[in-house]
Amino acid sequence: MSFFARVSVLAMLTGLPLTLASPALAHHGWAWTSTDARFELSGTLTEIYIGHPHATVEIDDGETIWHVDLAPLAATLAAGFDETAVAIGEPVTVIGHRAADAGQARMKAVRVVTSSGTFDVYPRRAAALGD
Amino acid sequence: MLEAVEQLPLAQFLRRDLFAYPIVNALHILALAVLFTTALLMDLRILGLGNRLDLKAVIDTLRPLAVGSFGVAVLTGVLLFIVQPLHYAPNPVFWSKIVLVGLAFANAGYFVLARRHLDPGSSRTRLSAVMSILLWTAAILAGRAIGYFGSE
Repeated sequence: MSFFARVSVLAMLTGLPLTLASPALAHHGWAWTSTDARFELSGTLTEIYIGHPHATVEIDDGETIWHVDLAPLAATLAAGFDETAVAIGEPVTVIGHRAADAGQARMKAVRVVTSSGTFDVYPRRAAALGD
Repeated sequence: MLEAVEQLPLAQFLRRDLFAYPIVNALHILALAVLFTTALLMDLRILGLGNRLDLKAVIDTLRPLAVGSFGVAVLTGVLLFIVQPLHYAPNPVFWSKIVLVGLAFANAGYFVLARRHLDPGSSRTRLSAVMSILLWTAAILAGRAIGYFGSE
């Protein structure tokens, strides 16, 4: 086999394990979360991203900085949530589902609560919370 | 450097406009569809499928489409990247995809520059055609995986 073919096969063989080695960091969809258990997190906002492909916030609960996925941009904005809803350093509560791998400080929120209101970024899932 | 890219007016527009990003995303997929199909058809012709079609005519017809769609794929790929450069840059899955695209492109470049289609009987030419199919497939799989694996 030529040198180029060997390098190519090597790249394909390393690409797959690299991908499989990092599924715990996934963000698309809900498969990476524990959707059967409600999870609530309160803390201070340390970062906010409102944009494609989906919005995210980071929250400091006093011990750890949590990475929180929200909905895609259009759904997040439709819920009324953007940078005007909460400022960095202000308290914020998110309700949703945490990563199935409990060692990870990551979750996906269906509802965000700030001093300016309650924002259901996944309205149907938020209604199903029964809060 | 990546911070500066993130601050580009174009990046800010793509991040926040409701329609631009989904359109660019769709164009990226469309370009991949044309690129993969044309490359696959040329590779299969080299490997013996559709031998009643003239090889030179097949290459002359499909190659410009493959090259053009590769250009569109790179351009739209760059646009998708600058939306969140600091998010993708540390992702090993993203880099696997880039390496696979680079290898597939190098393989195609070798094929074009060495005029390998003139010699479809050669084992090197046939190996190159097989590598083309495998590399483009792997690049697409790795690309799709970026959204699901390895993100910070």
